[in-house]
Amino acid sequence: MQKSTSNITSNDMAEIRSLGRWTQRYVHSRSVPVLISLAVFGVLMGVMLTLWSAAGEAYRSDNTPLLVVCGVGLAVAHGVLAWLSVPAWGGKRLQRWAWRYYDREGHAAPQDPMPRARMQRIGGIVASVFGACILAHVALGFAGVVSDAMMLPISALYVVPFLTFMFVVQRVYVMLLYPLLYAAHAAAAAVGLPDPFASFVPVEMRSIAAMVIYGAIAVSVSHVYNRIALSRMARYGRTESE
Amino acid sequence: MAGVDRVIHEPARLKVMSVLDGVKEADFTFLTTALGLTNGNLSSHIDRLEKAKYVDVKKSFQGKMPRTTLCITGEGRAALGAYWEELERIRQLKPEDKE
Repeated sequence: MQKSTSNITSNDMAEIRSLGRWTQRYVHSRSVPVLISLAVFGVLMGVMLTLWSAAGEAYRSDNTPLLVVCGVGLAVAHGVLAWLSVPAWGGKRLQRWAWRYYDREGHAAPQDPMPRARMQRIGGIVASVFGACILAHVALGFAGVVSDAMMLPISALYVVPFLTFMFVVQRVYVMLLYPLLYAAHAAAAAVGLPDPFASFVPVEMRSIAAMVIYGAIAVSVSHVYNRIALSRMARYGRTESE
Repeated sequence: MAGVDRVIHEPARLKVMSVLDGVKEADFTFLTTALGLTNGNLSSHIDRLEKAKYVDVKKSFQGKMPRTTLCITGEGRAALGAYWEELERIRQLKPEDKE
């Protein structure tokens, strides 16, 4: 039966009005493509670090065949990483493939938080500063100025503001769990509390492990929230007048 | 009731407008997922909204598959805002004022 204004209740009004908000929440929390990208880059980084470590071992023990295998493996892994990182090469292909998950539900683009030109300008500046921080941090690590144990706490000084800025600007508030977990881990490491990754991640890989593990946790939570938003959207969206 | 926009007043169209108000653009499949309408029913509501210039409809191809993308216009957004204000005004009227 179709409702008219005379019998529409304030509850109905509130539900229909909330439809736009739940749609926004649904669109902002679609995170499966991020999870797939994280998994792909996480595996690649893991392979590269393992190969670097094996190459170092081979060099020290004069094992030339292993060194050559590691060198070829590293070249291939770096090539794949570069191919996936550049949108025009493989980046867009990976994204397109990852977004197929949502084909059945349809596609919607979130509202731009600010004019596109301004967003690109700010995004360029932020990405440059972030990149410079990573380079400086890695250089300080190689120079021995920052110890392995302090790499993660120091990285939090730029990773946490960067992630927070990115998710606030994009209004993906559920993903703020990511910088929150990273900051908590960094703070715990800085004050010398036992590291939760100590048993399964070598100390020099903990920053990357934190990026991947906390990213995966936040993305999974975001996916659960996305399913809730989808069910709310469908519940409030079902029309009685069909 | 004279001030209520009859185009938006139909519940299915009101919901189409509400969903589109929350995004920059959405495709046809997304709207069927969100609203549970059949393709034919949704098409007829979209036609009505397009004629009123409340939504923009773009038809394109993604590979070999046709794709219909919709977005709410500035006029549509203003009409939706005015509709909610009017509905709120009517809801707050005393019974004797309604008669």
